[in-house]
Amino acid sequence: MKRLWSTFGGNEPAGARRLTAATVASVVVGVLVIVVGNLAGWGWTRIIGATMISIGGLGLGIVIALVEPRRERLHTVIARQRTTIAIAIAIILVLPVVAVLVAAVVGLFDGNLRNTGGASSAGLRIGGTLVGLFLLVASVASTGIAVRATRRADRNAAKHLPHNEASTTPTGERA
Amino acid sequence: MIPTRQIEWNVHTLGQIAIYVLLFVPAGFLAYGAARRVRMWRIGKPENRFNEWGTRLRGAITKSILHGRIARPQNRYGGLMHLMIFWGFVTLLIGTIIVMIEDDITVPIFHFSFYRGSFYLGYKFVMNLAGLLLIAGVLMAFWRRLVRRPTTQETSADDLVLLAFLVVLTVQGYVLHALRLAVTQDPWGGWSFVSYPLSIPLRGLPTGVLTALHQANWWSHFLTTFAFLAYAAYSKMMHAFTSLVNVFFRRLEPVGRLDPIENLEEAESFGISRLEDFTWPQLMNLDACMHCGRCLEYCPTVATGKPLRPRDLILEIGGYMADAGGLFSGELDADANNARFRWGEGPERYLIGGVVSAEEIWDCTTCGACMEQCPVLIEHVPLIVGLRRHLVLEQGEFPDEVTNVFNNLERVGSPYQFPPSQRDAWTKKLAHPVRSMAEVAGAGEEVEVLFFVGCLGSFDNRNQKTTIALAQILQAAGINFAILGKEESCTGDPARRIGNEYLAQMLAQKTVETLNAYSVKKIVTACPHCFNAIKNEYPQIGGNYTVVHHSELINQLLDEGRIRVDPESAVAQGKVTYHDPCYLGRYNQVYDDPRSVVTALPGVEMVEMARNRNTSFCCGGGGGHLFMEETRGSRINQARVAEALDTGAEILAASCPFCMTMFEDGVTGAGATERMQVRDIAELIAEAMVIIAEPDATSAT
Repeated sequence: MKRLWSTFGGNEPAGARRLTAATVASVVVGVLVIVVGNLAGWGWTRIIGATMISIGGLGLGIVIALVEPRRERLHTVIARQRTTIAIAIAIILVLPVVAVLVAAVVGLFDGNLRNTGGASSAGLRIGGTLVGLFLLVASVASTGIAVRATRRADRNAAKHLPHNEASTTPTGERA
Repeated sequence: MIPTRQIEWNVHTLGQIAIYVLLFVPAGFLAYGAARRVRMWRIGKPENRFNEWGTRLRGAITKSILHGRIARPQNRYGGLMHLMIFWGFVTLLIGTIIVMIEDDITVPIFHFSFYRGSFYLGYKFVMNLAGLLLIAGVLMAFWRRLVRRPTTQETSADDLVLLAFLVVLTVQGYVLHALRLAVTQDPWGGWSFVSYPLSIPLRGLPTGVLTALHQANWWSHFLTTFAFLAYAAYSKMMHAFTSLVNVFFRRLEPVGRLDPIENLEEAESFGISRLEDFTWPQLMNLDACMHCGRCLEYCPTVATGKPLRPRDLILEIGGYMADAGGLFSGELDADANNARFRWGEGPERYLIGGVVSAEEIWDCTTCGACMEQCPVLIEHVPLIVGLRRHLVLEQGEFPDEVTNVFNNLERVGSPYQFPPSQRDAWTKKLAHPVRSMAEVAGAGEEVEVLFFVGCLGSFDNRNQKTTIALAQILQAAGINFAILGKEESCTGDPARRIGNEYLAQMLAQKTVETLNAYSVKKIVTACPHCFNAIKNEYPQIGGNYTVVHHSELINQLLDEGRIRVDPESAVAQGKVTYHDPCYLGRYNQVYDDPRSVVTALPGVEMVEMARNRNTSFCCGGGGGHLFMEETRGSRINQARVAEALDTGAEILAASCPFCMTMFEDGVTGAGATERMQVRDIAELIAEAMVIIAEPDATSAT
């Protein structure tokens, strides 16, 4: 990796900038390929665009990781806000699935079932509802447990680590 | 009608574009986290782990992917749980890739669709099964962490967040499919044996509501997937990458071999005191730890309440590396684990003292139980010895009682103060004399085997009995052997494990020179520490010999009929339990020979202790601890003796002088001298042996 990095000039500030530009360009071109292809109905462009975006994203991550100094401010902001971010994301992402599963459970008691395609036996309906109930409990409970643990971890971190800041260089010196 | 489904059904153009366009976000986060870690590993010193790719790949597949190291008899619950989560997850991942190949490659480019017919039906069945496996595995994990709560396991927020991610992702997959089935009512829906029944009660909802819910869930599923991928590199989930890489780049040398400090005379620093002092695989080890706590299950220091907990040591240094490398330190949780709280405290700390305590470093008995149990092959012992090397060679800090050991080793080549001239004093107690190599060479002869007696076997009264017994066996078998006598010195093993590499190399070099001067080819020893050093470490300095432990040789002699046990012998009537010495068993995989020797005795009922073979519990004497005071926690030797007493055995058989010494002390300490005898297997055989013929004149004159 070191050789590859040097080959592309990653050790020099100008080289690092070139690499950053190249990765961003890869993402941008990939996005364009996807958008144009989709609008034009060219399915074959998707894999090309997706590859360019993925490679661009991977490259960008590597370049940012290897170029010094690190983005300490961003790092600190994310580190400090991670609990809030995590809980918000968890709730937003789990809500739609909860809505459906609640609907499935309530569906058992809905006497006006539409066309069930010959699958309206009570057994299947009860089975489906039980599956829904199981998945509902599993997803709500696991999310609840995770949110509670995250909040507790945050409290513990605040108590034990009042100066929770990371360093800037791999060897430990602050920039 | 051919069974299939429309990929991206009910997904609008915006969604179809977004799923590709936003790919750079998880890719970037993943790459950043991985590159940051690799960058930290690169701080370490170079070490060639790029050889034998085939062996490495095979090991990575069998040990990691096929769970050879993860699902083991002693870890049934955890192994099965991980197996279900792993294969459930991997199968679903492969399923996603299959859909991508169909939708993005084969259909648009080659106008060929394989996602239909029997393949499609089988695919649906397998995906539903994989999802169930994954959820069941995750529920087992929740149960284990929140209800069973094994003492060796600690649960952090990260552990629970990851488990929740896996459940939610899988449930989303089922729900999405159920919503589509509720609308399309595929006649082959039954193949999706989880989603299909779920779709039945949903059919009561209007189609518009179903499609709206489908869209909302599609977005949330793809965003959850991306959030999971972005989070993975900063969480324990990274072990999917780091542990596989760690197993691939594992050490292929014998586990009992410590690497020497090269060019000791010219080295500017010794041992490990900074991140730069580790080798890169050692730094990679730190990131590979998945916090499972298996290393704690058989660790003698953990069992006896000492500060050293191998996992915490790894986590402490790992947290220090993460801080120094600016990685999100992640876990700041768990009530009891101080190591976790140290994460994120920043890199302005001394490694020894600030991150790892001297007590942790000195507590280790180097028994290797942690390394044997670790599913990702973390090498704890070399790392701890590295830290000791710094303390001993740079700081001059070591337990007081070791000072005399070092002095004696330097002065007389033994941890004890006896002069070398007394090394062969035990031979006078034999009916037949034993020749020294000097005498053999002086007579212009050669011997078949060199009997390397070792320091304990030479000087320690109790272990001299084993030495005499082994010599009697060799003589009875007519083996042409000799000893080094006063030319023998310590192999360097205690000095090396304590961290005095300088002294260890000096002693090892001296022994190799002596052995090579006599052109020794085959060596037998009753000491597993000498056995390990000569067999595994001497090749590093030009000492290449065939080395056998006395248990192997005695078993071979019994098998070949060269010695025979009296069928009327009452030496070991009743229950006998055998203790596996760490340096013989775990370090050199000699488990069966000693047991065969014990069971060769008439009237013996072999009973195993709860921890045996590769899970054997240390006697407490390794790593220099035979010569140190045990001031922290309870006594390891007494813990092992208690385990032996639990079997109801009257004899605790051993095959190591270190273990013999520790157990004699342990039996006395436990007040069990009336109930239990500690015997070396050579003693038992020598006492029960029938002398077939007078020894050959050339073997013992």
